Amino acid sequence: MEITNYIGIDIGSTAAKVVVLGAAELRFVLPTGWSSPDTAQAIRRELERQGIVLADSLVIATGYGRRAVAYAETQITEITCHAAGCADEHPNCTIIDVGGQDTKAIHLTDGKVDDFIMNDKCSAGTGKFVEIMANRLSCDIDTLFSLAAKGKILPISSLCTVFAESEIIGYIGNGCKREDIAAGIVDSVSEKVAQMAQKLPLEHEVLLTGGLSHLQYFAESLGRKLRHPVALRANGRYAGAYGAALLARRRGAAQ
Amino acid sequence: MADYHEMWESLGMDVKAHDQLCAVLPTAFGDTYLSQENRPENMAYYDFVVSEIHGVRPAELIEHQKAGGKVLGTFCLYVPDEIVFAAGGIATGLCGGSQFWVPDGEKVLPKNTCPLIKASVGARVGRTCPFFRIADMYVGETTCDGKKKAWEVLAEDVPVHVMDMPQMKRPQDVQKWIGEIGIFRDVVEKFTGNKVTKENLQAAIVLLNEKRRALARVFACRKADPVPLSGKDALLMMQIAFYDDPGRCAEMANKLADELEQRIRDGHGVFAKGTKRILVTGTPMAIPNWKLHHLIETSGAVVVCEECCTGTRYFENLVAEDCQTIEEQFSALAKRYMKNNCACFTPNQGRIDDILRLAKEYKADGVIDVNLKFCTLYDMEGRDVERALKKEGIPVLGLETDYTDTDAEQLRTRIGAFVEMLG
Amino acid sequence: MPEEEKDYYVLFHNHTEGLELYQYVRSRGISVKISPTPRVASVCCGMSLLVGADAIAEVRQCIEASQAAYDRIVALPRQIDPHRDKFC
Repeated sequence: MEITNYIGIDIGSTAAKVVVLGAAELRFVLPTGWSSPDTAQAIRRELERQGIVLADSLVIATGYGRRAVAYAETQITEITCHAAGCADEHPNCTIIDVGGQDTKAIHLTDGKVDDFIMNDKCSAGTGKFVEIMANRLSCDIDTLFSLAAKGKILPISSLCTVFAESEIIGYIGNGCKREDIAAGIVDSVSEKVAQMAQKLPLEHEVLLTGGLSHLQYFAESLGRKLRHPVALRANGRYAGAYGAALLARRRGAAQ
Repeated sequence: MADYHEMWESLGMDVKAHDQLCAVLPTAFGDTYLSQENRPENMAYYDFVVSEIHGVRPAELIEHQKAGGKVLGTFCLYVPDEIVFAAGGIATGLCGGSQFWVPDGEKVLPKNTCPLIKASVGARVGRTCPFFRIADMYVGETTCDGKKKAWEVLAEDVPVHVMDMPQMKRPQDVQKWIGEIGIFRDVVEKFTGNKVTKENLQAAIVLLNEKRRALARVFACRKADPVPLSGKDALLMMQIAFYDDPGRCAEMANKLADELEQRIRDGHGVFAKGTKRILVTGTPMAIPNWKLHHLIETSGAVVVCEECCTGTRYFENLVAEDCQTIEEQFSALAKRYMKNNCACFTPNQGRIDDILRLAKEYKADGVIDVNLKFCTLYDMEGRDVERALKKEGIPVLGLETDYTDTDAEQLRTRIGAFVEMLG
Repeated sequence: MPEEEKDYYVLFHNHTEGLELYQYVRSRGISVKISPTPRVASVCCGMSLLVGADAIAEVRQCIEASQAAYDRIVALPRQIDPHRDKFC
C-alpha cells in the first residue's frame, strides 16, 4: 500500500503539535488538556477533517503523551525528534528545548545526537515557571516577554517556583514596575536553563526550540547567560513534531 | 497458604504495617519479573525466594539461633563474611531497597540522606523487616558520613560493631584493615563463643570463594550476544546472594550457569541478537529495588553487567586459598577486600579502570551511571566516570534517582533517548 | 471476562506443596511460574503457581493425576502490567 502522508505528533504537557508531510503539507497545534488519549482522538478528528486518511499515513508519536497515540506506528522520544527536526539544516549544533515541564539541551554532531541533558523533577527553568509567573502578572507569556524587554531586571533569588512566586508577590506589594518584574522572571528562567545547557559543549550554534522559541528577547537573555549567541529555530515549536514526521518518512522509505 | 504471621509476631514486628509491604510486593514482582518472556528455568528458585521472602530464610535463621548460633547483619562489601562463618555464625545482608521503609527512616534521619540508609534504618525502627529483627548484632563500617551516623541511631536499639575503614589504598591502609579484621575476629569470637581457627577460617574462605566463582560464572554468560539472561534476573540473583545460605547460593548460581552456557551453545537469548547492551555503574541496588533495570529493559535495551556492590564488586577477586598460617589468612582477606573499588576511597582510579575494562569485556554499547539521591561520593565521582568513558568513545548517561515511582516517566524519556542515540 | 485476559493462581497450604506441584507440572513441560500470591487472592503471603488460561486444564489434570495437595485455584483478571511503573 502506498503511504501518502507522514505524520509527526508531539503531545507535550501544555500543547500538542502536529506536522504532516507528503501529499498534504500542514501543521496545527491543540491544547493538551487533561487527557492525552482524548487529545490523541481530537488530533485524529482534526486530521480527518482536513481530509487526511490515517489508513494511508505513517504516524510517529513523541512527547510525554506519546504512548497515548494508539494509531501511531511507533513512539520516539522528544529528544531524538527535536534533533531530527533540526539536523537537516543544522547538523552540528546544540539545541535548547524549553518545554512545558521539561527542558532539554541536545548536542548534535554530523546530524546525530551524541549527548543530551534534561532537567530534574523541578519546574524552575521550564515553560511552567513562565506560565505561572505570567498568570501572576495577569498577562500571557508573549506579553510577559515584551514587558521584560522594556524593564530593568529585579533579582529573583529562589530556584523553587513556589518561593520565586512569593518573591514576586513581594515585588508587587512594594509597587515595583511590572516591566521590571517581568525582566526578573525572564532572567531567572534564562539563568536556570543556561546552568543546565552549559554542561554540554557549546562549540557550534545554539538553537532554541519548544514553546518559547519565537521570543527574540528570550534568545538574547539566554545568550547573555551562556556567553554564546542563541538563534531561534524557525517554527521551533513544531521541531519535535516535524522531526517525528521526518523520521516517519525515513521509516516509510526503509520499508 | 503459607502463614508466617505467628513468626513475625514473635519477632516483635509491626505486623500490620508490614502487611502493606506484603500487599504491594506481588504486584511489583509480577509487573517486573513475571512479565518477562523466555526466562531460564533455573530462575524459578529465585522467584520462589522472593515469593517467600520474609518466610523461608528468616525461619532458617531462627532455627540456627535455636541451636545456639548467632546471626550478624551486615551492610557493606568490606565486611569479611569469612570471619562470621568461621566462628559458626551466619552473616546476612541487611540493606533496604524499598521506598516502603523510607518514611520510618526519615523520622530519625535528615531527609537529605540517601534512600539506602533511610530504608535500612526505617526497616529497623519501624519493625517491618524480619531480617532486621532476627540479627543479633549489626556490623557497620565507616564508608560514608551517612552510615557513620546511622550506626549511632541503630546502636540505641541493637548491638552494633563498627569497622573503621581506610580511606586510601596505601600499604599502611591494607595493614590497618588487617588490624580491623583482627578486632572484628575478637568481637565475633566473644559474641559467638567460638574460636576462629586456621581450619575453620580456611573452610569459610573456600565456601565464600565458591560462591564468588559461581556468581562470576553467571556473569560471564552475560557477555554473549544474544544474551541468555536479562539484567533484571541477574540483579535478582545478586540481591538474593546477600542473604542466602552461601553454599546454596553457589549451588543455585552454578545450576543457572549450566543452563546459560547451554543457551549460549544453542544461540538462545532472552533479547534479540544485536539488542543494545548497557553496563550499569554506580550505587548499589538492594532488594527490591528493580526500578532502573526494569525501565532500561522495557525501553529497548538490555543490562549486561553491573559495576556496583550488587554486581561485579561482590564477587570479583578471590581470597588466596593457599595460606599456611592464620596471619597469612588475615593478610589474604585484607588484600582481597581492599581490592574493592568503592567511591569512598581517594583517589579511586581503580574504579575507572574497572568500568572501562567491564565495558569492553561485556561489549557494552553504552553505560548508564546511576546515583542514588544524596550519595555525594558516587555523585562527585560521576564526573570522572563520564569523562573517562567519553574519552574512550563510549556513550554514557548519568542518572540520579531514588526509590519512589514519581520520576519513572522522566527516566523513561532519558533512557529511551539514550537507547535511540546508540542507534 | 474474556478468557485470554484471565490468569489462574494455584494456592497452597505451604511451600512444600507448592514446590512439589511445580516440579510435577514442569516435568511434563507445562508452562507455569512461581509467583508471590496476589493480595486479591489471599491475605497471606507466600508462593502460588501462576498458570495461563491456555494451561489451566492441563494443570488441573496434573493435580488429579498426582493427587497433589493444594488449597484452591483462583481465577483473576490479568494482574501483570510491565508499564504500570509502580515499584515497591
